[in-house]
Amino acid sequence: MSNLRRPKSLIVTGTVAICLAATGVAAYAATNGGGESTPSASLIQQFIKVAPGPGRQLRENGLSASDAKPAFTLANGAVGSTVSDGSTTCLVLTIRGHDGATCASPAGIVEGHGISVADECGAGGRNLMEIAGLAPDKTQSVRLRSSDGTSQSTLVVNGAFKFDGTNPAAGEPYPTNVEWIGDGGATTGSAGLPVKGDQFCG
Amino acid sequence: MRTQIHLLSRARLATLAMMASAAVAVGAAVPAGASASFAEFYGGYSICGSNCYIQSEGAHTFYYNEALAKGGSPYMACQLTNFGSVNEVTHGYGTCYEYYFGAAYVWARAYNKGGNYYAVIGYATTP
Repeated sequence: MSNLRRPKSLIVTGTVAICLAATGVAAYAATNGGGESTPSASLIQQFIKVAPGPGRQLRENGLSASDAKPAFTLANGAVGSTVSDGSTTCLVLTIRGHDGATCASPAGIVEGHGISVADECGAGGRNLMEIAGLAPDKTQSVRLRSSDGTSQSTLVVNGAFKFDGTNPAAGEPYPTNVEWIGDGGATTGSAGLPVKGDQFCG
Repeated sequence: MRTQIHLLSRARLATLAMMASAAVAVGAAVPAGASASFAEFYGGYSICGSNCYIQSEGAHTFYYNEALAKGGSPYMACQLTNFGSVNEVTHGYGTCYEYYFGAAYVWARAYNKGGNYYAVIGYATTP
């Protein structure tokens, strides 16, 4: 019995040593803010609490795409829907049967943290730009402001909104922020897009 | 005998767990399922907020890429690109994700555009 267990102990010990060494390398690289080393298992656990992959934010918040209410369809074919438990609301974008989600608290939604911007920037794409997001409670419509002062508006459906367009070319006006429009057309607040200036494509 | 089996099972489990941990630690490349798909964690360290980025170790037929920052909600961008015909970019606050169904070999990147340093981790997977 002891002859059988000894090799396993060696394997375990060796594997632990490899793991610790690799973790040390990763930690060294992380401390120095660079390097090509990849994250260790313990480091990964500091970032995410559920398995990564499609729909991670839904799983992280205990919500399901099957409970979501339809809101819109984007030009790229993605279907937008919303699901909420009261404290967290998620905008689910489903494309080709795959779910993705952007989730935020009510306060985060007011600040625009439920907004995502997707850009097709490759030469082989259609150059689509999709702005989709969650709107604060009681928001009737959303106005998208551009850098040249122009704007366009869209209605909020089941707590979400979208703007379809194309990526702004260099030097052209670009969208900068949204305004929340409530009952009677009054502006109730505004939020910036999660894009640095006109850096829509990288 | 039952105790011996129990001990052996525990040893096997411990070995498997350690090997899995070591695999992730050394390569951060993990099987994404029972098929031949490939998944990879990348980054996991602090990068500057002026367009600094983390990147996957290589190009694969990634169809999904996601990233998140630790301890804040900076402007972030996820990118799947072959530096030519394919360049899919998605922006978000503190996190971002994107799909690409073109099946080309692409690199996965995640940018911190929030101005300040943040630790950022990315995850990309093939179908």
